[in-house]
Amino acid sequence: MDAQSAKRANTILGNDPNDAVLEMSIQGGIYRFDSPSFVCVSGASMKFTLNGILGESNCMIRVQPHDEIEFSQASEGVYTYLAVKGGFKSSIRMGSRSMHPSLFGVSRLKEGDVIEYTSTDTVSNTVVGKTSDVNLSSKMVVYPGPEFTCLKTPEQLGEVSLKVAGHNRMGIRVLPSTYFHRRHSTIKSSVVFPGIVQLTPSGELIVLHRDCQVTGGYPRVLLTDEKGLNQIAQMRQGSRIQFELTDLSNYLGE
Amino acid sequence: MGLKVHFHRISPEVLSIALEETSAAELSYVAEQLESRFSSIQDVVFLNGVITVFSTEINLILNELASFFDSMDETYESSFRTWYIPIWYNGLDLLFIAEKKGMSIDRIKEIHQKEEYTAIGYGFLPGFFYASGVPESIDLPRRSSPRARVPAQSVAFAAAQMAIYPFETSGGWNILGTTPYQFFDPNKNPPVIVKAGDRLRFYEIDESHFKALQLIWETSSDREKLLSHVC
Repeated sequence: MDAQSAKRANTILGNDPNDAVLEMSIQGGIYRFDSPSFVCVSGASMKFTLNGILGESNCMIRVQPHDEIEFSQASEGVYTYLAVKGGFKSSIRMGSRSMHPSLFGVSRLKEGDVIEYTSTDTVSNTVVGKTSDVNLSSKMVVYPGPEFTCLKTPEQLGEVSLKVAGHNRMGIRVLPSTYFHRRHSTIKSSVVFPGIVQLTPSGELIVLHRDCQVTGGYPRVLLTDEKGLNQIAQMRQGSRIQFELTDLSNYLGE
Repeated sequence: MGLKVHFHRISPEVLSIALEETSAAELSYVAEQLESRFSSIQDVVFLNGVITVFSTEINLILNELASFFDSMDETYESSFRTWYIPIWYNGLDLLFIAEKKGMSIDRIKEIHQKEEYTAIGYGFLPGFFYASGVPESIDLPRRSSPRARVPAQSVAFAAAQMAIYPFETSGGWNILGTTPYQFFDPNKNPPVIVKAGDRLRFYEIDESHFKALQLIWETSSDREKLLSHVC
């Protein structure tokens, strides 16, 4: 969900940025290592210990057989990442290790699950980690979407404080938007992707996220970029957010 | 010669291409051609006259894309298959549809089965295909608020489109019933059978027939054959 934090953890370990990481949402867990490797924690600040000793985020940590990392709860933000040297070798479906319920039947790990990784004793790179830069700002850049004209008063978009109302991997609901609601016009089902902001007939805005559907019938009134996606992913239910409407040409680089 | 198209850049990596006067089968064919000819295209989604291309190199291939459509020949052979889909009319909205339309449930079922539908493309969820051809006499818009839980394999329609939900999910379409067939199998390549342009016909089954067919489908090594006739 916060791809930037996931990539940071991988980069610090010298991994491919797209190597599989473990994602924790608010709640942590206990993870035991059966062979030596190196790990890195990044994303939402979450206290963790390695064999009882407090660990540090955004740096490389050596783990030995039988070591245990215990995470508590995130104190701020939503998604925390645990990366391992070489990436987790979980099973692949349709070219992805992402645990989408429609492909794997389940969407999360449960107690006792075992995930493979390659054991390693040595590490060649020396990338220095930097402190977490999870973006917790309440202002998020948005651009006009294909059905921008379905917004009643777009000029007031930047003046209203919106509330993050619901959170899952498909999308993040933002309220209230009834205020912006023009008489509802359904569109023919058309393409959507992470970053598209839909306006529903009941007047909610939904910021579509990483596991969103590929087509949808609600007007695509706005659009956010990778930075905005990472930012809103870390915003908890109940947080306030303000949209900053920016010209699309700034995004397209024209 | 050539196809008339309109380019619409939605984001740096997303380009929608609207085709004038096109069919689902043509769209599917053009989408396949695009994927095979342009290695820098990561994904293609097509539906309702629009092909959308995902690529990190759109700027570099814009001209090439334009010439691709200019040189595209309209005379390709379209072929389709007809699939027979069993449905147990146990849908949560059956009574609602009947009341809304002022018809008996039997009449709704009859109209639904009489019609032939055309698959027009995939979207929403893995294995979710849209089909056109819903008769106006039974058609309704999307529900005003989506249901939190639509059972897996529900046959539903809204706004002139018909679909089968491959999984349990939330959804706002009007549910007619359930099919014992599962139309998405991630362990198969390709994971789907129905192609854009294929025709679909529905036939009524009861609960015991549903259970029998469900078992047959799960263990069948030739699912295309099961779909090729009324079972």
